[in-house]
Amino acid sequence: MNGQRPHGPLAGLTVVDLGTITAGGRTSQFLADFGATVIKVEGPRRPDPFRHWSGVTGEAGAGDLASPPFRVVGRNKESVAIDLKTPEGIAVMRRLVEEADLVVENFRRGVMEKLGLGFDTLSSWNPRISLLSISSQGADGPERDYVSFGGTLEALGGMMAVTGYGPAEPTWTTSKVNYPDQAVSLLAPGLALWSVLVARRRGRGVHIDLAQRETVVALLGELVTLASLTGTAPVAAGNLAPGETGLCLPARGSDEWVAVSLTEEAQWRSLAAAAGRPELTADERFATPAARRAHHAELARELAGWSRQHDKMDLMRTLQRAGVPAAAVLRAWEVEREQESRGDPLHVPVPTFDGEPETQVSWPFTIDGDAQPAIYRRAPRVGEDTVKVLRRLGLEQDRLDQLLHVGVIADCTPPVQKRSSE
Amino acid sequence: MMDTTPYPTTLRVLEVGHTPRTALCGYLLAGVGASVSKLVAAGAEPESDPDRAEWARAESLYLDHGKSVRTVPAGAAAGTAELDGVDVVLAGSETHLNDLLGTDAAGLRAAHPRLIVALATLFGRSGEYASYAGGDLLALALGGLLSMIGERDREPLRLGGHQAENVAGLALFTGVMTGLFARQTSGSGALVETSAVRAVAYLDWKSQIYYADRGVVLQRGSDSGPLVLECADGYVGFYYRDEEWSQVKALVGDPRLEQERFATQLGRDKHREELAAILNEFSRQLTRSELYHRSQARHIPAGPVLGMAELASDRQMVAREFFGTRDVDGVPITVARLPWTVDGVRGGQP
Repeated sequence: MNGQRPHGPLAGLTVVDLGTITAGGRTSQFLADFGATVIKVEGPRRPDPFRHWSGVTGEAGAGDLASPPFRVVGRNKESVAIDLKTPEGIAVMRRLVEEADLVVENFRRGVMEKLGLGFDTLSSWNPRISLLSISSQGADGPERDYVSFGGTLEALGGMMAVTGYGPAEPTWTTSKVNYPDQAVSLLAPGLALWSVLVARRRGRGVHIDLAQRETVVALLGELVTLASLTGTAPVAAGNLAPGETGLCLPARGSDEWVAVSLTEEAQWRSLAAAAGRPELTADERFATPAARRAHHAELARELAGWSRQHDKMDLMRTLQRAGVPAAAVLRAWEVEREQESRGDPLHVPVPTFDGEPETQVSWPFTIDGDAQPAIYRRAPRVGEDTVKVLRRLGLEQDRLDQLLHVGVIADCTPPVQKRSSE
Repeated sequence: MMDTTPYPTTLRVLEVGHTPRTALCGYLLAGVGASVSKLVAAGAEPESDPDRAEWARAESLYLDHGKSVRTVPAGAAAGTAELDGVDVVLAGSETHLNDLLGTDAAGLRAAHPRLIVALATLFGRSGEYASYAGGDLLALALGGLLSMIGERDREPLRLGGHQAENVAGLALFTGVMTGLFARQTSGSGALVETSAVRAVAYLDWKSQIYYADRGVVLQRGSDSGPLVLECADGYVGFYYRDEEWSQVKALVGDPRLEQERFATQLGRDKHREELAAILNEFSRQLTRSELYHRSQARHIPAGPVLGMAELASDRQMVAREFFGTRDVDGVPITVARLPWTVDGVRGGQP
């Protein structure tokens, strides 16, 4: 595993990864999964905070591989520990950049320039380098330095205004999901690859400034246009959508649900019949699509007596057979099982420090051909590959020893806890 | 302006049929300089629901901008002549390919070895769900994300807009770029395939890994830490963390926050309702803007909940020139532009 060079679709791409936590880390993880050589640069004394993340469960665990989400975003990468606040560290960084195609970063704005790693500098070292900068609000503007997390970007980007049980209950996805980070992590790898294609074509790279807040708005772009066209701004309306009566009906068990989406009259009649409640179709409260949307809570209550008696998978299948769009509301582990059983596996085993593999979500799409995404190695410890990578760049052993001695670079930092559960 | 578009005349994309996911992908590809043509079947039933019709119009105005859209008679496949010089074909289902090109994904790959065929279905092409009826809400359900949104004691909640479609579109965009990158060295095209369910499940990866790690089941709901506070004119997402607590106390200036029960994050979470009541008492006296800027001055991550009609006048958005105005039938319409700049230049509409 370790030392094996990638042969995926992105083989030949070299990335210097200054990405941290999700937005930067998961972007470069995608590139690594698909075969790029991704060199993660961390401070010897200030590694990626995702290695010690308590933001989801309140527990950080101990050791630099204790954090489950870090073990995902760190996979397939090499870790090089460099103190970028020293001139010697910047000189080492220069060696990395000279041999790379792309730098990915999501520091707070201004940090790259403060470190002496602005795009102009990177370009002067390597004109073909591209820089992908991911930030909350972009590289400029009066609020570029404001602190943000995914949740605040959902507010600032309009998502919370259209997500909620009603207009007075704006709802965010919380740190358990952090939608802006995840959406950006799907878009950013594509932009990164485009920037490298640009550089290879014209001989000089580009600087992409990708703003997470703007990405959220872009994913609501049709609603912005709709508000402008009609003069009425869409607001949160539970599971309703324009022209659609969306319902979540309780199923048998605790917190089990089936989602139903009605867009046609025939679907409504079929739902009422399947529920053994054909009389509801004659009820004035539910007589038209608009009436059903206006009384959706009452409609859900009327149907709950029936739906609670059934397993969510049975409800889904029964309703689909009757021509009613319906789907069981699955949890993550159920998705894994379902995808597997349908012959469309979405998960892969990934080695861990103690050698016992764990299951992780694999890739967002499949691609045919011989060159395939793969798991090459587990997430690295801080500086685990420092010496190997810098030797590969041609640094002499004497120089490495010297840099190690003065703390400009570092190799593994013992001790490590193998798994957060231990 | 620097030349930042590598394929202004050479990368050609054919979008076959309409789905929101492929429309978004095509829009993004056009945004990086591709020439995008779109084939849609003529004679489709007009949308009878006025709300859906309006939404569809807005969606088309937004996502089809800059594309060359052509209608062809329904059932009369335009044929593979459409593919001359095309690098990328986007489709939301094989039905669209068969109806409009007279072939399927495998047929395209076989006949055009350098072509990137990019397919994004809702529920996958095989297995039980492939033939299911439904849309965005159901893809959120089957991909696991729906179970994570909303409050714990209430029903799961969809995200606004159609985010399952969108994440499939984003995945497809990155898939196309991956195929193009690989083609540079291999000379061969590729079939890139995703589904809304797959893309949603990829997005909800944290739920999966915490469960895989030691069986932790993440539950939907705002049950710890950050709070949504009410202001005089709306709401603010108040994303304070333990390290910001001293600043929160200084900001609010209420002696009750000094009580022992609020001294730790555990305590604040345990007494969440009482804490929210105190903070709301304070925040209701302020506008969203006041609370936002005062919080940020203390480095407390906070953000006002902005509505669709408010975004374009936001000072950060204005400074960044993120919105543009287009003339639609003589009426100026606000449109979002691309969410990135290249060497400082904003692309996309108007």
